[in-house]
Amino acid sequence: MLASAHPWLKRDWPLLVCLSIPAILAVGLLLYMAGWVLVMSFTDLSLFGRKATEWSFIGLENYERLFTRRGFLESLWVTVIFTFFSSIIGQNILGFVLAGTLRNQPGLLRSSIESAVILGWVLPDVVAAFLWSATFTPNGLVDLAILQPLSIETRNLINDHPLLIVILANIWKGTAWSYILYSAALDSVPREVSEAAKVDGATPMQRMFFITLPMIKSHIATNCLFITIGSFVYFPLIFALTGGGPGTKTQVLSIFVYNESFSVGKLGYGSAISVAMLIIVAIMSIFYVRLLREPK
Amino acid sequence: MAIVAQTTKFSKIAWPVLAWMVGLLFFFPIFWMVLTSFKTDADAVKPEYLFWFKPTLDNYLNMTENYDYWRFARNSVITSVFATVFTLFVGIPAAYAMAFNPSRATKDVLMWMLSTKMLPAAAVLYPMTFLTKSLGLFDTHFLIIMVLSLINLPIVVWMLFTYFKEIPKDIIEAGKMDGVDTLGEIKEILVPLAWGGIASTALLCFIFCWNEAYWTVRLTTTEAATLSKLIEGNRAPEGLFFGRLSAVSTAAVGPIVVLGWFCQKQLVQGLTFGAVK
Repeated sequence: MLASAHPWLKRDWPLLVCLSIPAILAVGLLLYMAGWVLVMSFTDLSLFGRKATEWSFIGLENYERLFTRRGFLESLWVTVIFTFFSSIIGQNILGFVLAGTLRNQPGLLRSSIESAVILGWVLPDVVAAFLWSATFTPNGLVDLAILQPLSIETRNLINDHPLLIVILANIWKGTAWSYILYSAALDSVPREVSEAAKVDGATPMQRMFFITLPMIKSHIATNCLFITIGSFVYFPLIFALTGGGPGTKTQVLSIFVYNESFSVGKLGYGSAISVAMLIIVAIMSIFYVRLLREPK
Repeated sequence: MAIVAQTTKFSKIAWPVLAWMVGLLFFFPIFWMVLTSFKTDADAVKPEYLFWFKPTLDNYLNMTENYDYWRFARNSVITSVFATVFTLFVGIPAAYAMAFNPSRATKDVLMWMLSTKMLPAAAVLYPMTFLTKSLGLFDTHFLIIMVLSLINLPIVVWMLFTYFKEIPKDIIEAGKMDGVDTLGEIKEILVPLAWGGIASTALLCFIFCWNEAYWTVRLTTTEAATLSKLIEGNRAPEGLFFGRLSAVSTAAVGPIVVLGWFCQKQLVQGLTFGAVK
């Protein structure tokens, strides 16, 4: 449209394509890898042993295994719990409450708490894992500060409540994102609307649920899209903190893929799980994008 | 009316208190790590020394011999800086093309870029390792720089795109009328105008590169190993070596925290990248 309205913009098309080539190549390489994964998912390729070289196509067998063998469905369930409680409930709501609370607060309070929340977010996952294991391990922070002074028996809290701690860790790590997004979203709501409702006698709760929330609906959907995808495929912190254990209690799908592919060595099966994950995430994304597109 | 007044009074105190508590909870583990880094390994696991202890710098002074810290730090700096520069170098022209010559494909390209985040990294590890080993690139700075650029390119292009979109097209067109060619436009007009946006994008990209802990751990052994690999490789089961591990972790995140702290505002603006408009 723009090009036809301003003929001189046409002149640069070949050059513009050239400019984009490196970026297109980079994305192309990622897609190429994804294609490789798709092909592997139809084979019995293995990391070690005979099938590492003499592999063959086995059709949909890997996909059948997703449902016939133990592992995938359990892992999917863990992932759903992890994603739902850490992102949709935890990061989302905490981020929103913080954003709503802090925007009317004096600068010092706001910026200190903002720093604390963002600090967790900028820390590398491996350091976050060290912090969390140092907090809950025997002789760790909780043990030293609470359990030992009260002479409560030392326990390995990470082994006792692994999923809970992994969820807490993810909330700690990711809330900054929701907080920042919601701060900006709340700034985009005109004050007059809220003021007008206040004059009409709406309570703060009513203003929140009937005015503010509907107005930032698309931002909520955007945020949920990002954090759901992020948590669903999240790997480094959980892997460094629990490695998926004890047993399979925190074995989310991304760790399941890793273990099946590189500990068990079944690359084909691992790839099939990845493809299944991709499909699930894609469906969730379409769902959110639909929400976004709904007429205002 | 009275009830409304009461609730507002209550909420005027309750919400800030709650916010402070959340802030403290978020901050405390980090504070404790920094504190522990000044304790000896023996003091670090004694409850009576939780806050009162004799501070020592030994953990930091011995960091080089305990963990060979500087070698890893050097690798982190090299790979993050070059990856950031390279990503911007590739990303700016691409974002320019998308922002000023939008076509029907633009939105799709953005969606495709988002979709690269959907595939679990574990799935791509095998093809990636296979490729890098057969090209003889395993454990080289070049490889890590390329991988970091590749991972961050989608988000960088996306962020730049939203910044560039804000620039009035008239200015670019005026440049065209004056006979400036496309490269000139990018260099002379676009980059100076969008400097703030480019800087926050670069900052964010640098932080992501520095923090990357999946590929840097798995595609290196010694030569190009970064701080992530150092931290990942040293755990502290049951408080073993708490002091020295805290010190090396603090030193590993120091640059990033200082950077993030200085640029908090740009970071906050940059992150919302037009998702909110």
